[in-house]
Amino acid sequence: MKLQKLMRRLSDVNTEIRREAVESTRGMREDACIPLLLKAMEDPDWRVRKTAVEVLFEDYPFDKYINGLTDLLFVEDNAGPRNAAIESLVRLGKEAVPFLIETFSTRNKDVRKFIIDILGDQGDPRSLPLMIEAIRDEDENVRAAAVEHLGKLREPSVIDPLIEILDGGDLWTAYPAADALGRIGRSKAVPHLVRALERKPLREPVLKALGLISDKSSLGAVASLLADPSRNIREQALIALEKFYRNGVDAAFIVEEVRRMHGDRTLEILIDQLRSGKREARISAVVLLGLIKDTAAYVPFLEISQEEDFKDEVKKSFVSIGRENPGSLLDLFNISNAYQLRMLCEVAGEIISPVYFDELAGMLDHADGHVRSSAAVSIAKLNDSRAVEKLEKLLGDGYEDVQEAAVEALSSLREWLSNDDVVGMLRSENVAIKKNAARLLGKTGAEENVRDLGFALKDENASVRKAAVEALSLIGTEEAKKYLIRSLTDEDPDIRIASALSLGAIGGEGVLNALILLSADPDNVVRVAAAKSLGMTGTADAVSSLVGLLGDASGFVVTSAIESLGAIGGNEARQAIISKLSSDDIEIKRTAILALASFEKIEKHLTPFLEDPDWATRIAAVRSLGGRAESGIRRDLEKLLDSEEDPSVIKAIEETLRV
Amino acid sequence: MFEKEDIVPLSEDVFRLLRDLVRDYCGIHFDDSSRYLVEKRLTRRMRSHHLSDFRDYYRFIRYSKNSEEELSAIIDVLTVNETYFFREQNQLRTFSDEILEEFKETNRDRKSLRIWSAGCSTGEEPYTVAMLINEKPEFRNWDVEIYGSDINQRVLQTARRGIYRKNSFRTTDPYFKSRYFSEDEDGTSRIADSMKRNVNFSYLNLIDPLKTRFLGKMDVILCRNVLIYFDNASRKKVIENFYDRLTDGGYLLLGHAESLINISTAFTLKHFKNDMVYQKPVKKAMFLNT
Repeated sequence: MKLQKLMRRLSDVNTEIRREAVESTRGMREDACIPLLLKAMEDPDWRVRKTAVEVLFEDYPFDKYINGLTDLLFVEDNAGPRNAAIESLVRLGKEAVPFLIETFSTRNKDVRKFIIDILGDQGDPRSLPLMIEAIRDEDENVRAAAVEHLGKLREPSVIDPLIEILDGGDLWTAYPAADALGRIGRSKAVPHLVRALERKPLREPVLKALGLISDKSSLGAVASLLADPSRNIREQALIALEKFYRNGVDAAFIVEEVRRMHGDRTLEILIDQLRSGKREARISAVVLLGLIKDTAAYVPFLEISQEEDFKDEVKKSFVSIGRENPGSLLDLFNISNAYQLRMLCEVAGEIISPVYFDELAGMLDHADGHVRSSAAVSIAKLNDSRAVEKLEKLLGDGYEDVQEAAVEALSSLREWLSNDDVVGMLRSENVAIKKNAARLLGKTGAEENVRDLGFALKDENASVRKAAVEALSLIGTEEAKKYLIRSLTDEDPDIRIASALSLGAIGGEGVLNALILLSADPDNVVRVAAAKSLGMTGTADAVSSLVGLLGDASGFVVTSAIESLGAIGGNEARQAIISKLSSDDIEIKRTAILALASFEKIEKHLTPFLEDPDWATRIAAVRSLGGRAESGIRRDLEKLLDSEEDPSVIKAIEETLRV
Repeated sequence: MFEKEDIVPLSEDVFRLLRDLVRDYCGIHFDDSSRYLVEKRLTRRMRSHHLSDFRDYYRFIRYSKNSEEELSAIIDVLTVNETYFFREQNQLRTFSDEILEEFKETNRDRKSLRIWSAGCSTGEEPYTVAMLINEKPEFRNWDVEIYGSDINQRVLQTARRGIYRKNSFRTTDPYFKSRYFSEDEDGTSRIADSMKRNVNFSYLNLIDPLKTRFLGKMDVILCRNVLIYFDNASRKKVIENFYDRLTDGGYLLLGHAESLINISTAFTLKHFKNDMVYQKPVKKAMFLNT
């Protein structure tokens, strides 16, 4: 009687009633429920189907319902039940294999194809004979699927049938067979694949397969196609050769074979491919030219080095050639193109040979700032004390990027640096030099120079004071902290911000009071920094100041205070954040919703926002509620997923529900 | 705290919030595929304000009194649209051989010609127009004014400088290059001062009708491969502004893949030998799709 009632509810128009009907069978564990659950798997709504699958899996042994699942594969008018059955059969794993093998004898070609796909996904060795049988199926889709899955199984025992298919006349299956043989990666297939290169339509998958297998015996055949009349085949051959190299075939052997095939034309052929329309082929050409190590590639390399896509590979190949004979690059430094010079400096920095010292030192005076900064970075790697003086000059360069590169370079040459000289620079007339000297002291962690940096905080130029704050922040000692607290009264808001954030990160005694005072700063962003830093201290003593900031006129200050209150936690913080849920400002509201994620018992405050007209507010509610295990919230989110139209909100719910 | 140069991740939702701010400011729409670009290019900008995540950056702009300043800086960083001289030759042939010929007759009395390259990026398009007009001796004594405008201040600086690299000349006939450019030592080419004289550059937001009014009326507006960066609502605003700025019978040249379908029915499509071009009807009428 009860089951009849359930069956009636399962036909209700209301999705939730149907889902609840299924849910109500959970734990009953009565065999009579199984047909009902299988019926529910034909439901048009995914939630009902999903619940049915869950109950089946949790409450019943698989042999009670597996035939029902395989029967669902035959449902033709609705893809939902079929998909649910396929997913369930995949999930059952090895248990389902014998049943699927048995069902394969059906005349229904679609079901045979589904079974091959499921068995292919499961990868169980017991399905191998069936897979092998299926490659001779009367339906071409079943045959092609079987061949494809045999490739995924990577089972060497299927090589022979695959070879047979490859050698046969059916291109529809020979194509995936070549692909499958490549994936399996056994040398046995290589002679057949090489022979298949004679069949033009198969050349592309065969070249890919030979590249994957990377057997030395096929290298000549692949290399010979570098001069094929078809551009596509030339490109595929080149890409395959790169694979040989990546898979560990000796570079010298690759070069020898390519040269044996193409002799004096080798360079010409590869350089021509640098102009290919296919990005992958161009990269392969760069790699092979790097292996050949012929300096004739330098000029074409420089030409394409300006293209962002190839820059990294060109650099590697340049380095590969240049490392053999570092001096071979020296003449190139006479070129005038700044982009190319920049690349050369970077290459020299990778090869790291003393022969480049003079060239790189010369480039430190180049008119182009990018060249100067690349040269600075590279010359530092030579670890030559002579570079220090030249790099120190760049601390006063007109370009910020060059100055930064010089600071980085000098900090890596610290063993040759004179601390007195750097401290002396803090008193330079040149603002850039003073500023960068301070940065340099920070980067070298000069604890003994905290006082000097403290003095730099009195500089009339704000950029110098800011650099000193940055340096003191990096040093982070108690003494440094004292100076940072002092700089909270600097007239430049940027400096007050930097000091506040540094102090928040360092924490400790005296910081809290200073930050509380700063929270009344006239500048909005300084108050933001104060709010954030108060949050960083993590102390409950900061809460009342942060609550005070919730009344701030700037929304940025309010949102920062909310986040800090959320990070600190506690009842006072909780209440204060909840009060902001009724804000008229949507970003304040969203921030409050997100900040409540870590608090207990806030569901009733947040669930109404799942229906907010603003998509970002709904996402905030989804994320905030998402971490909770309560089934009621899960149900709310599932319900929202049914009606939600915004793609970002749908994605957020799916991530939360893991569907 | 000051060491990080790595890229700060930009979540999908914050990306949407930021791009909506940009769209409301200037109509430019960044699609989902631009997220990584935005993330990469704005990280440094964001850090320069001592901010460590993009949500804060969004708030910084949203609540700033000078939000326009920051949005303008964002545009500078995100919208460098690559262009080159003599782009879309067929259309330029139509402009040079047919549209200019027409204006030679219709503007004969006032002897003036006003052309606006809207969204001119680094200036190749307005200079191309200047070169094409200069090749027509009959316009020598005319008052020719060419305007290039963009919302990116950085590209306008390049346009004003008038120095170009090899890539800008990919479809330039050597005749034009030798006649109107001088080669610099570093391989770059500098536009002749005579061309610079005819071209004026302006910083303009195309969806702002007040600012665009500063330019006055135009005979031709070129806005090629620019509308693709706008959403539909903003496209309508831009086209309304163009309509307003064009003289009766004036021409609007869009990119070859662009059209006014679903944007405006106010223009007529005129067929020339090599191309079809939108024209503002002589009788004033405006029926914009809403």
